[in-house]
Amino acid sequence: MARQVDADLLIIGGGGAGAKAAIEAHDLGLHVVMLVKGFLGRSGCSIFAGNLNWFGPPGDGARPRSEAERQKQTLEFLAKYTHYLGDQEYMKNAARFTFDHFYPWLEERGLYILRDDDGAVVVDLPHGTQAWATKMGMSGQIIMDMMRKEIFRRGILVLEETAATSLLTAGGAVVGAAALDYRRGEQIVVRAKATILATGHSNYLSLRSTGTREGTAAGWVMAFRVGCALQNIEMQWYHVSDVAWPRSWMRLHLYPNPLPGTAHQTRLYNRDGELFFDGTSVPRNPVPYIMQLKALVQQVRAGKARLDGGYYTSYRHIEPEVVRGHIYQTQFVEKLGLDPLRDVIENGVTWHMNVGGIRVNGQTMQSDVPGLYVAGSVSALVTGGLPNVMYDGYVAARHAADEIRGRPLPRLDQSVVERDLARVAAYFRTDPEGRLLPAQVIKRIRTVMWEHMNYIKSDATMRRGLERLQRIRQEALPRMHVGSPSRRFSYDWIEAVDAEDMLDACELMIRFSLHRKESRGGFFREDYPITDNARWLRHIVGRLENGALRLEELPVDLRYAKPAEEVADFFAVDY
Amino acid sequence: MSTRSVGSARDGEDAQPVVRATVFKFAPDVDPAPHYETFEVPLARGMRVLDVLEAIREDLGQPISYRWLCGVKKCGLCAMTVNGRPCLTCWEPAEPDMIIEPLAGFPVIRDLVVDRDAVDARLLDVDPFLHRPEDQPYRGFPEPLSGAAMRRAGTMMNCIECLACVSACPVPRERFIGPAALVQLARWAFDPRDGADRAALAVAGGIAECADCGDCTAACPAGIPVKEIAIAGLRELCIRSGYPDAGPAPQEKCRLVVPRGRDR
Repeated sequence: MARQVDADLLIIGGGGAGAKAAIEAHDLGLHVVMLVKGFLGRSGCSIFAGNLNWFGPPGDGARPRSEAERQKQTLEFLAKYTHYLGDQEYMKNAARFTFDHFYPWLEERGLYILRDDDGAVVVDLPHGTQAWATKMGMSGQIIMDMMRKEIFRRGILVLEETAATSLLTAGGAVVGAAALDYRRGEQIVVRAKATILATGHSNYLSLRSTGTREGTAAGWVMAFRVGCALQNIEMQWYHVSDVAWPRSWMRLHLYPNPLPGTAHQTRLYNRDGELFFDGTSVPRNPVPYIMQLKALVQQVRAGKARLDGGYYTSYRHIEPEVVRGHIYQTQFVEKLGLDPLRDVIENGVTWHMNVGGIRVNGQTMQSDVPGLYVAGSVSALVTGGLPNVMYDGYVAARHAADEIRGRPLPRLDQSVVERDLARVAAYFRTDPEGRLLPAQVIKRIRTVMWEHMNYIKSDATMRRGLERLQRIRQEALPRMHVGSPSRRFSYDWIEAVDAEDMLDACELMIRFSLHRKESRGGFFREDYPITDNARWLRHIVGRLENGALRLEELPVDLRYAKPAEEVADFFAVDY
Repeated sequence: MSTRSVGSARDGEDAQPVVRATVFKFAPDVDPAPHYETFEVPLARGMRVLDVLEAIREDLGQPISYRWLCGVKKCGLCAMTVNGRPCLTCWEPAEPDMIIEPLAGFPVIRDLVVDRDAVDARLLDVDPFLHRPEDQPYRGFPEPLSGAAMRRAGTMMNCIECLACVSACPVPRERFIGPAALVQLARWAFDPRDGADRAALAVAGGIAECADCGDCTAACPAGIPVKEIAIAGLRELCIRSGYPDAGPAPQEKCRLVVPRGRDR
């Protein structure tokens, strides 16, 4: 028997998008319930936000320029950031929101945007594209702590350590979600007039990944299963300059962007000590992450670096007061016994974010399924970014509030509810025949993705990856057990659910990847090393039809920014 | 129970160094009593305590319940007691021989997972929100503010609420709101934009009960001088605001409280 909770608005996810939606909806008078797989404001990618988008408010004194100029620069940057697949109208509105709402709303409540002693906002030089909340690397953590407290202050009901396991439908609409409170070992059903899915990036799918451990693509899979379309999920993003070891620090990012108050960027050296990437000397370098990746591929092919090590970041040329005072990562380097002003730090690539996700209406955050909104990086609008995802949450909450005003609570379809509760309950296997912890199965899945769906891919490696995933599904999944009969804090139970979700998500991702026969930014195929804007500047969209994935291509709206080239060598373009 | 590892050596080393972890296990719904289990895993380069726990699950297939999310000292959820000391397990290196226990001073939910709810509630009791004086309203972004004026508050912002300091603190919780709550309070007290009566909150939180032992500072993985800057700064504010009893504890008090502290 599952506990039932009713709400006007159900929000699944406790990162930037979900938190902003909750505050907005509550302040509009809605009864809100949040389901958070980890801890509100402590899980997901939001806490990792290092840099905050900054193109300066118009006429901020530092670099006076017109609103039109600022917008144009912003849109070109954002278009390249998403390899021209981002929703440009959405990006324009989100960029407006960043200055009209995000910064003032947070600063009014006490957020401290790093200033120098004369009071000027510290930005990167000379272009002023980034700012920071107190320290480079701490912006997300501080902002999300503020959001957490603002939510608790309002008395909003937050069910933490409670993972949504399925979206519930009735009469073709989403009417809530089934969930597992894994702290107590109890299943819960939440019924709501509208639901906002804000589960964040589906990062944790490869051996080396950023984000937190619960980002296992449940959002994609839950939405897909109820009829939503996924878009461009093959467009993985990778970090190059993440720490190679220890293992748990693989998500520690040594930012390649220009550093606070300087025009300097970090430098990359290969196995032989040769400098192979210096962002300041790349003529067009709007998206340093992608330029680093392209440079790294050349080194890996020459045998002078590996994807999991053998190349190094250096801060040695940077002002000591910046390294010591403004950068969160410095303490980690020192903890390993290294001096960032004298030593280099070994790196490995990590899978970081995704340009694609659930297809949504960029003006309203509505999905294709009535009753379901999508906010934040789980959608296909843009790569992510804390101000952007908060914009999503803000918009979704407002539209949901308008939509459900005066509506009664929906009726649940009990057969749908019972089906998901039974599905999740069945994962709680303790029989001694079972021999694998879900954590072991998950590691196998992530190993396959690291070996077959890494930055450097080909048709052959991807198909082999599909085969290996299929074998895991057939042989390993049935052998999962939770290892103990205790229902208290059985994270193993949740991981059993995750393992199946991850298999589904990874298979979908590989199928999307096989379809895109080109390379684009964070997506690279050795067998198609060209960026082909003539043929492939399209959205790859897939949904469930008659129990199988059906893929189609849809046009991309390029109303504000277009790529300069039609077809080009992948390594020759700067996005 | 000892479980040998099946990992292979890294870097071609002949003698694979191992980490031996003796871990507290207790599932109150099925176990009659707590017990300890010992595991051995290969020592990987730069290995953190957390990596050892992950290896026990992912490689040895042995279940242990523990919390972690970020792995890089942001979420504050992976603090445990290791070899008798509070330890942020994603931050501290694995030692060759470790006893890993739930963070001392908190009720155990299962194995290494503790109930933080009561202490998390205290972090909200210090009114952790900016209160601008009515005659100094917010006038829009970016507001006039200098880096120098925000330096002390900025140090407090390094706090990730891991509660290691609360675990280390010997003063009984009935009388003292604890060091983590005071760091959160100090973050606002030190903010030049804030006009709330932070001294009253410090006094209500029992700042006079602090024994000045400094165990909080020693435990803090973020390197925040909890005693020397947060608590001392709040004491100073209290005295300036007319609360004379909030001054530094006499050394005698420290000597009395520490040995009789909560878990000693």
